[in-house]
Amino acid sequence: MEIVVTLNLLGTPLVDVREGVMTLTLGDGASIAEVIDRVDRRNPGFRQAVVDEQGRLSRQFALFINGNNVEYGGGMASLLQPNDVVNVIPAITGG
Amino acid sequence: MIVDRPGSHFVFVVAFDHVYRGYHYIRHDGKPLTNKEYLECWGKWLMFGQREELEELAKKLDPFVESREIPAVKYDRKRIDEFGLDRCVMCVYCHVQARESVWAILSSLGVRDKAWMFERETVEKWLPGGINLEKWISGRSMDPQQAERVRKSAEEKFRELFENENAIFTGIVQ
Repeated sequence: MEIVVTLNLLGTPLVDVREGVMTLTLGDGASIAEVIDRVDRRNPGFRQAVVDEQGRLSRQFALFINGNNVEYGGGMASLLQPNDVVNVIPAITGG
Repeated sequence: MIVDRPGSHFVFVVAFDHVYRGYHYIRHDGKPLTNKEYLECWGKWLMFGQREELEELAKKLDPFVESREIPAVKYDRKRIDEFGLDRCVMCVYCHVQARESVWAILSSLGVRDKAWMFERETVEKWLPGGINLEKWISGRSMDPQQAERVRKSAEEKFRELFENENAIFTGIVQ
């Protein structure tokens, strides 16, 4: 299945953003954890920025699947469906 | 109408009736929301851009706000230095049950990035230990006593604001 990932990191220095918009081909049952690993390969520092030392989603960034914050859904285990759209933003936005 | 008060960090898009006739836009099914309902159901779509880009979008959204299809919009007058972001943020507010119809409007205007945030998430981020409050404190290089006063003040402000969960939500001065 294919999904689209967009990084809207707004200049935060933690990630070397080389590809802000990506189409990824994933196997069935892929989770957001796999998406993070795939994005990290193209954008060094991404995984370290969005995952904390305990392997949970960092409080510094928010990841959305089709607009829904994965932190309030399945977290790292959130599953992707074909044509899903993933957005990543600094958690600090929206005050 | 676009409400641009130089004293506020934010520029707002709200209905004419809100400004001049006391219309309360934080509502659903014809009724203003209580504090409890506000925290459970009110939220916003987030958008990013340079000030000029958001200004253009705000002009396009204004008719939808006047027709009450979109309750309210606000965006940064300028980037928040303490947060270190390279773009301004726009919030397009609505009740969670209206968010897909509001998204359809945004999408028709060319918005692509889809990020929904509940107001309760924002409130949590401005409480002591929350990412926004702590970043704001560190961005202002406060000494420990000043920082503690700010944390205490934030905690008291939100406690007072939401103390009575059945009271009509009256808004946060910004």
